[in-house]
Amino acid sequence: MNASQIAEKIRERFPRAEEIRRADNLPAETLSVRVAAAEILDVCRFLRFELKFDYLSFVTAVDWKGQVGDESFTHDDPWALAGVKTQPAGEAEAGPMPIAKRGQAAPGLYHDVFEMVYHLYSYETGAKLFLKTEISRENPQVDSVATLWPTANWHERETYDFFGIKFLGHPDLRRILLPWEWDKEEGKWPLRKDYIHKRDIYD
Amino acid sequence: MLELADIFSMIYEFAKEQAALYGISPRVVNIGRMVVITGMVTGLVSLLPIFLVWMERKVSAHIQSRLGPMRVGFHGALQTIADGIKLFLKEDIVPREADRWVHRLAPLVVVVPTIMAFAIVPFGSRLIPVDLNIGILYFLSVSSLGVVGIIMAGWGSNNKYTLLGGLRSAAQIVSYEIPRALSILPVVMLAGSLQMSAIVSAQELKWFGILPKWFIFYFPVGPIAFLIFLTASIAECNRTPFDLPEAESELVAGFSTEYSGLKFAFFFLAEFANMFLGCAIATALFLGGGSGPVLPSTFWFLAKTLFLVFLFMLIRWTVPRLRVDRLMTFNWKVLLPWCFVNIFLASLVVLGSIS
Amino acid sequence: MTEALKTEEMTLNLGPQHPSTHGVLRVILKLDGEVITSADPDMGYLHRGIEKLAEARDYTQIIVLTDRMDYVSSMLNNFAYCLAVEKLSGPQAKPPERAEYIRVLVAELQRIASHLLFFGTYGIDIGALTPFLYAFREREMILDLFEMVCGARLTVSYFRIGGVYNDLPPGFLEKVQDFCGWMKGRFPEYQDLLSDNVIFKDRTKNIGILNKEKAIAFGVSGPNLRATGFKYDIRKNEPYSVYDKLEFDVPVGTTGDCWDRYHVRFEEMRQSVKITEQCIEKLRALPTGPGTTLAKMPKILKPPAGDAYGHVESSRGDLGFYLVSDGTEIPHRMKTRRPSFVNLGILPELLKGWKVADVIAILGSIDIVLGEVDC
Repeated sequence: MNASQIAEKIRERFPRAEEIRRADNLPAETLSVRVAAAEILDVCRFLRFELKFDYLSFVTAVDWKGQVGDESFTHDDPWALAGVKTQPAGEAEAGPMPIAKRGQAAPGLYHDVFEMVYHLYSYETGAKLFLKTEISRENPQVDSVATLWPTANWHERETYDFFGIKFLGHPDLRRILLPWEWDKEEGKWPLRKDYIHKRDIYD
Repeated sequence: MLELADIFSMIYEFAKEQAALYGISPRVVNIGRMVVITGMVTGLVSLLPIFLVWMERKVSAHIQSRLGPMRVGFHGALQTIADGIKLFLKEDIVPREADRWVHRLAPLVVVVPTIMAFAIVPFGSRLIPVDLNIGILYFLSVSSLGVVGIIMAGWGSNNKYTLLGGLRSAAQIVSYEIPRALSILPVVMLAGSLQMSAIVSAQELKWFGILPKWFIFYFPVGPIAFLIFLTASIAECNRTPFDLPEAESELVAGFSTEYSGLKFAFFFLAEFANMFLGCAIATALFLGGGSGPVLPSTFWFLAKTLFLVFLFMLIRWTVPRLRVDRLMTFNWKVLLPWCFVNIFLASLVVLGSIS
Repeated sequence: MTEALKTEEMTLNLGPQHPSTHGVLRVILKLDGEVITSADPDMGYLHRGIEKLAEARDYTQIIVLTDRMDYVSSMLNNFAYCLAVEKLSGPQAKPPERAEYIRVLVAELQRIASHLLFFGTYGIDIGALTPFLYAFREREMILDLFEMVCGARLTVSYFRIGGVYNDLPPGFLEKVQDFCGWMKGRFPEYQDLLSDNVIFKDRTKNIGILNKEKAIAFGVSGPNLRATGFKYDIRKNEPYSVYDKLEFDVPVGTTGDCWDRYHVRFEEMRQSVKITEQCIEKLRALPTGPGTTLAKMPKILKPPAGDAYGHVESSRGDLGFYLVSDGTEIPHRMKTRRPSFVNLGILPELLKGWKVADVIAILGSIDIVLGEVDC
């Protein structure tokens, strides 16, 4: 089953799904399909059981909030080398972090959403698929697919850990790589583009 | 041929003559002799591990395609002494909630039975410190006392995991004493006596002038008994492949974890002395003790014992570990039945030779 | 005293510092007597924020970061990352043929080195302390080869976008040939030492059995998956680079127990030697010269906006990099799909019902590297 057939089948069941094509309107190397966030669990169920996508490679999120300002970063602060603006505890809120970039980003790319990306593969048919959906940044939440693919359990924990996205129906949503105590504080989601690091005991 | 025993008896005679000159009764000289022998045995047991530890390190290094200690002394010969000095200088820590006297006495209770058991080891012809007529029985009973020390060490450290490790170790040692004792029984039956010198002298003759009458060559009883005794001895010394109670310091601490400095050195000493003891007894029982051509018997005894020690080390560094439950299964379901079979066969041999 | 020994659930902490956890990993075990009722791995002790760091570096600088993820097989990390960036950049970044063969050669040598490390450390976990030193003697030879090629032993940073950093030094191929000959002689030795050893088999056969359905459901990949009997290898099923031109077998196990996982890796070493020898042949025949080891790439690479996923069959499994480009020279997002992280997810399932004494054997057989788990 090649990419266009899969895209057809998905669009039959879920008319709002759209295939993401490249800038020159050619099909992408790996099929990418965008669906609405509300339908994500149904789409996944369809993909898992009817299209036989039995291998979930990873679940992740991409923060499409763009950079604001283009001050170049200084090299004397190790946090700045990472591109993370820090603020010693107690000081007033600083602005979002600056990254010096040469060249302009492609127009129209940055918008205020999280994009969830699921990479699926079928051992039976050899088909590959990127499933994408967009969720808001203010109150990010999406259905968990851990019941369909047990491997998603840890991938979703990792995404929650880094972005703060709540997975509804996840059996055990807690931080996985970063310290568990960080949940008691506000806003410690490091991979967000507007993350400002408050220096803590680990610094 | 000059035997060590001759030298010692010459010294003893000389001492008696001198004492007679000074009016000291020979009984006093005898007591003095016993004190000197005890001192020599204790000294031997304390100094032997220095050599054995160096040997272990060198043997393991060469098995592992590396060199081992090379700097301290010629090819690292003084390394153990350096390590011993280091251990002596370490701070002696006793855990706060621990039972102090239990904790303090445990190393002694582990070491002393081992030293005591050396009393009946035949270091050569006529060179047994005490030639008890129940020699081998004395060895079995005294070496069992060391288990108490291990349990004391486990308990006295106030550590749940040390206790479990110590209990596991003790269970293993106690279980493996049974095949060890039962495998000696055929030898005793063949030799007709429990006395160590009698067992050794029963192996002095030769078949057809070539093959020595060592008990290991008494097919099929001898080799089976030898292998069972050796395997059980490895388990007694808590060495690989039977060292999960210790090496389970991966998960559960071994019994000697809370010890530092001199007390830890005692445990270490006890392990190596125990290993030498097991090999020495095996030599005496199965390999003919000090029998051998030309050279003095002490030399042959040491050569055979050290060969067995080398075998222990070879096995340790080649073979992985058995799991605790597999270890127990091996003991009760494999070694023990073979012990009984062996005793039966030995009785057949003895009956056959009588009739 | 008896209260503590009654069968109530005891929590045992297999702490972060530990001789057998292959790195800083904490596993919180709940025991009912000797039997494990639940296991909860707690990781993150080696988390260095590589994904965040990648958002402030350009594409070539990130190669240095990727080395340090699975530090035991850094060539393979580089490989996966460069594949992803080359997919992102388009056909202009396709490496020339000589570069492809060099990439495969060093990648397979790295696979042998990684599996040798597994072989040695798994032996130590089970209690055999000697094979470790033999394995490291061979690994030293491989690391010396890497030093010849790129100057570094562990974190190589040898690959570049569009090829490799430099060509092979003279005399290198002969040395690799010698090494392959030496290695082939070692396999029967290792088989005797560990694979055929009765005690080793006793401790690993029928322990920690993983079946195929569970493995796929949990996203397990690499030798762990092949040990369950499922023959899937990215080099064969989704060939990348020049693997479709090379001949090799894919070893599979039968029952999915610890011994099978060990055995699959052992056999993979043999296959890697086979691949290495084929690469040596090909490299002798290919011409050298400027332009044969690196494609013509712009000084500052600015891939077009879009995303790409490049993955390889690493020594631990399916290692992939998902890169999102926004048209600048710094990626917008780099997601690392790490096989050790995903494979570790099977540990809670795998440990249930086994005894405490088997934990080390099972954990060792999954073969994780904490640098990759924590990223």
